[in-house]
Amino acid sequence: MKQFTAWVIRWPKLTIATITFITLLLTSQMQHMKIDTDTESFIPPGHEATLNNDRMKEIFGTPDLLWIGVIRESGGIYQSDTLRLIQSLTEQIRLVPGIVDQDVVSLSTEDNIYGTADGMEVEPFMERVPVDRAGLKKLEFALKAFDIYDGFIVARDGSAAAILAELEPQELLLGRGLDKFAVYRSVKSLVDEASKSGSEQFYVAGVPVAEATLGLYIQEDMGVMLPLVFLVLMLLLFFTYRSIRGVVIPMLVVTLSTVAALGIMAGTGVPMYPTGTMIPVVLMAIGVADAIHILGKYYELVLIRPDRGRDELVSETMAEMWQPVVLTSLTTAAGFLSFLMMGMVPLEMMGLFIAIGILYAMLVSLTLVPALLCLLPVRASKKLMQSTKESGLQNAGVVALSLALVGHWVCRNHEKTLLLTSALMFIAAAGASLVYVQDAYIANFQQDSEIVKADHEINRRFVGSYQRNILLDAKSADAFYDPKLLESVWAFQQGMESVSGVGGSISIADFIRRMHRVMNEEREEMAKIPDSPDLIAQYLLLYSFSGAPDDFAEVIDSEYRQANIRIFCTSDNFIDGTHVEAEINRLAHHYFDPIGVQWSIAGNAHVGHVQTEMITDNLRYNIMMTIFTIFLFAWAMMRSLVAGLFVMVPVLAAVILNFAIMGVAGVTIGWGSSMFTSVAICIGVDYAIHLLYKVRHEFERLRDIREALPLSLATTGKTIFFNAVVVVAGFMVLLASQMPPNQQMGLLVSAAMLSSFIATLTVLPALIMTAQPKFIFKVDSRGESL
Amino acid sequence: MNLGKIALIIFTLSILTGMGSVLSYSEELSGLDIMNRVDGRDDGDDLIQKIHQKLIDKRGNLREREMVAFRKDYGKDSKSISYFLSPANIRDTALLTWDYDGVERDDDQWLYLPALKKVRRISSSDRGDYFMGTDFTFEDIKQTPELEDYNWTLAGSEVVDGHDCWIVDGEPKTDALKKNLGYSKTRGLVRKDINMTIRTDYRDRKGQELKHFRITELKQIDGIWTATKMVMENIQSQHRTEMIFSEQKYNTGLSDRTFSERMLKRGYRD
Repeated sequence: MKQFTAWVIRWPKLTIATITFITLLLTSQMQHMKIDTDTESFIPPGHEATLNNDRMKEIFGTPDLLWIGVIRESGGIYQSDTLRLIQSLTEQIRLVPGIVDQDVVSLSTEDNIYGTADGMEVEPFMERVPVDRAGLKKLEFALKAFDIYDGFIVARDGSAAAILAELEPQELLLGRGLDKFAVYRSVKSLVDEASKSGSEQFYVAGVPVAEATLGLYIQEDMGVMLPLVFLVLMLLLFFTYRSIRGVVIPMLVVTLSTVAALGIMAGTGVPMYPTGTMIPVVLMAIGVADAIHILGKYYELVLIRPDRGRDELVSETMAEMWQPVVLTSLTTAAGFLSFLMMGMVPLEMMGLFIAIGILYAMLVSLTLVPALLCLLPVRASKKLMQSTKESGLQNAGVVALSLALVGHWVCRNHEKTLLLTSALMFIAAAGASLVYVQDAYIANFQQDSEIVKADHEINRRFVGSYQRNILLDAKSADAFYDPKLLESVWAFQQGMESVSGVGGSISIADFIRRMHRVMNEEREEMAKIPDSPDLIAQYLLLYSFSGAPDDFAEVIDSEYRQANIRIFCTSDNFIDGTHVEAEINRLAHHYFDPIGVQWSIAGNAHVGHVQTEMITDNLRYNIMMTIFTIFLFAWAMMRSLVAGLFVMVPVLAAVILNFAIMGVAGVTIGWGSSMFTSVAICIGVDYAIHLLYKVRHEFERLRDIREALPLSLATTGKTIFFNAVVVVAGFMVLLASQMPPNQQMGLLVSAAMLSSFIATLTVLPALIMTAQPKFIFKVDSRGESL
Repeated sequence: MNLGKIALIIFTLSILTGMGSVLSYSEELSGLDIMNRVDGRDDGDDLIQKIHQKLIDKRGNLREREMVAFRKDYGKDSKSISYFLSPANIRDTALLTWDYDGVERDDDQWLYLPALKKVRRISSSDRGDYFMGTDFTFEDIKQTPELEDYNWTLAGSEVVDGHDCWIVDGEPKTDALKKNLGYSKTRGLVRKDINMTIRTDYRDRKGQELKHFRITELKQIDGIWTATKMVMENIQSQHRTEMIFSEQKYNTGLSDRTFSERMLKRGYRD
């Protein structure tokens, strides 16, 4: 390592050129960056939920629907002007490129099929908008009588109507040079135009909306947050060092590592997931640490040995700093790499590329930073130099002075410090136990945002925009002509529809019941499954006469072997979902297992649910893995089991405190908040490592812990303080995010950093004083080896 | 100038005009002329044939139906009756249609479901509705579309499988018609020798490719050119329908009684 540093100091320009070249190479890859906001991307390929969902799309093509809700509070939608508006909006939406014209469904597109004394009538519900009371009443009546549409294209209370649109499949959209965002924007602008008329309110919701908007938010988020983080860091660095190099050097480390991580990400074809927003932010917060510690040591040396030459100063700085820099970088990287065991691609990729960025930051810190310092003249604040000369390092500045005082106090009252902390931990444990899992895709948006309001209004008035699909496989062709099986399907649906959170359901049984009633003079008691399989076949043939060839494709396969029961749910939050899924399992088990019909669950709501379930199951494991990985690394690199444990203590204390804050503040565990614990562990551990190194180093020199500790706090402690301030400020920038999980995470990580900073500078010294660990007090010849 | 001279000039002019029109006889027909020829093509006064429908979804899954169909022309009107033969569970299901020319009068349709043992009158379908759940709409399944509803233009000629064809573009005249039919444009290939449309490409209302119609087998039966195999493929949904026609019997003098409710209920007997 010494030789490596010597080489860097001898060839600073070559070093700078090499790093610049590599970074530019990686930057050039950024143009290939892709964005992925697919709700399914969180689930590992090959997972049952994904397989079922793929099978469902393959067989039934069940689409995620775009819901356009037209609400008229006063007097309901059965008024001529509102109906005319629905009709014209439907027509406009049908013509939007990327929307499947034939599959747009509203009360102006659908046919009413009803029985008469001698036959059956198929006619549009609304060929012309009715203008008189009788006509309006008749329309309302017709829709009420058609139970498949009641609650689906009109609210059951008549206060709203829906226009349901399907997007073309992804490949087809791309072929036309379109994407989900573009289609959503076109529909939205039509809706906005229509909403100018007055008496109605319009809402657009559905999974495609959430996905499209989340995609937009990610881009906007990046645009707003990155420059802000940058600005905050630069300002803080300038106030810390009051020199240009104090700003430029850390910012270079941050910029280069962020660019490298994103460059490698794009170059290897990994798309930007919603979690990807975190990569640059975390790298900015962490990447700056290495540079700050090197600069801290450099300035420390400048203050005490102002007479030394540049190369000598740099060489000495690196000799002392390379070890903690490498150690902290490797531990933090290892911590983030433990994300790879999460089993969820977006989280895994976040961990992986943060780790890559951290390692790149380490490389830059060990090469570019010393090289730059060699080329720049030695300069330091005259005032600080003077005060250092007069009264030593501990008095260099207010921060150093106060931290030295803290060090002295802890040295004298180390037992007291530990007892106070213990009491706090017990209280925190009680608070931490309040934390539970709750999440919803819609929770990614702000409470007062249009999209949340739309979701609420539409799910309140209609069957629900979140689908769960029960896939039935009866094993033999034509099985679904069997009245007994259809009765089971119907009974299952009845059971499901009484579950809270389920707004309605559609299956092949609905169509058969409808047809039976229609063909029997519309007699109510005939709305049932007929006894004859042949009659069922004939009804379905007849029904198919009135629609497109693939009308039933969404509920039954062409062999009549597999069917799809579409369950519409009014929310996608985790707790409701758990209840609905439990009921599905119970009822399906009850109705389908005895008759030998295989069943499985699919659909967007199910996939979302499984995703959150995986986070819950994985979080415990992930926290433990991160802690264990870091502990092993610290143990191995500091060659002391006790040192490994010591490193972990302040971090764990901080994590417990944060869980307590979550519990008390009512923050739940979701995909956003789940990441923070491990991120906090990874960053916080750096502090402990730096401080332990410093204490060991100073104790070796001074042979008196009561001097070594306060001095360590005044020097390394000061750097940690600056680092914490910068990290906290960096994460606070996340509050400007439009995505609540990111805001939440910013808050939680900031709090974690602040508490681990405090814990490092109090609990750790107290622990050292109380336990008198050998790895510090028995300094021998192997002390500095690694 | 005397009268004789005037007469002579007029005579010369008349000869020239006459010859002019004689010599211009072979100039291109208009799109409408061609479609009128297609419409006027002899397709027999009545017909019995078997129809085999194959509905194929994008995964290649096949659903088949067989039926026997009777048709008789009454001037511009026509009557038809179809009996399903297979699959077994829909055997004897039958559909009777009285098709009236023009839009003033709705068509009459009756349906017999053997499992219900009842004849039910069912309302007529729109032109843009799918025909019996196939990829053909009622408009497509006709010999020719309603000529006066489209602007027809001749777009050129093309040789297809060794046959010289006209390329005729049709555009529904109004937006309402486009919506009703689901098409913004059709392009047909009409064989010049037999005045028969052998291919049609349809574009949806957004101008995107929607469906391809192809006659894949064609032969002369009792002197009448008859499509024996045709396919309609929806490019967007990738669903397609093949129709195979066989056992054609033209002009057998079908009686009016063939197209009655009673016959609907009685079912088809060989």
